[in-house]
Amino acid sequence: MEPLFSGAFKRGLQILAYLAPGESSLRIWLHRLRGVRIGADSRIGMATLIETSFPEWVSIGNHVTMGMRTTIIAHVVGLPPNRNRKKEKYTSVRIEDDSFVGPGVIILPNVTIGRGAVVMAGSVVTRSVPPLTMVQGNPAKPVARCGVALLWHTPIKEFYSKLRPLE
Amino acid sequence: MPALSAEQVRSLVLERVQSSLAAKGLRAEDIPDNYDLLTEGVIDSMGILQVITEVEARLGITVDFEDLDPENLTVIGPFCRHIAKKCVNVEK
Repeated sequence: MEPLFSGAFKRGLQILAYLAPGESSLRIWLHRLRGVRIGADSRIGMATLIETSFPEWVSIGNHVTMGMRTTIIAHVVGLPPNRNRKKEKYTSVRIEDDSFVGPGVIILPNVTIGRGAVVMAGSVVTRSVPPLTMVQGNPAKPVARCGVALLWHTPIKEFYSKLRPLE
Repeated sequence: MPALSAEQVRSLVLERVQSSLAAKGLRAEDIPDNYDLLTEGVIDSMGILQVITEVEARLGITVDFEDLDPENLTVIGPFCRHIAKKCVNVEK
């Protein structure tokens, strides 16, 4: 059972973060205050929902770009995390360094988005994504191997020129 | 695998995006050499992959875009000439 005050605090901050400006500043700060682990130089788009109940179960690495209206769900009702792992910091959703999450993506519990992976707009991530892999669709499936990571300053055509379609 | 001219590659690519061009009221023969399929909204990021996959499948080669200026990746003229050049290199 979630404590009432802490639950209201996390949700209140989520509402503020949802509306706040500052993809790499204020919004990040608000999510960190809620308990989301976010690395350096990451960006979170507007109207993003990051796990309302257990934000501390979400880990976002360095140089991650997350588009607007992304939704991250880290808990499954009726499926608590393994109690044996309580001593270590439990992570349900892990987004590794240099990843790119397009707008409108939904990320479901217990997945890792590998280093430098790209999730295309509107995808639903139900399984972990290997590093430097582009996934698309519902459920998201690998469509290409990325030659370079898609960072916020990477010219998009340079990124495309190094993509290799998967069979 | 027969070598194709840039014109033949162009026909192949435009055939692939024919429906998107038609939606914009364009015909393949109206497309100028400097037409950027991406910025004109004819293809998106998936479209680029689909065009590359289709061209590679039809020609039976893997095309490396390392030596093509990334800015020209989605511009019809340079893109097709690049692929035609790669076909010739494979032939040799």
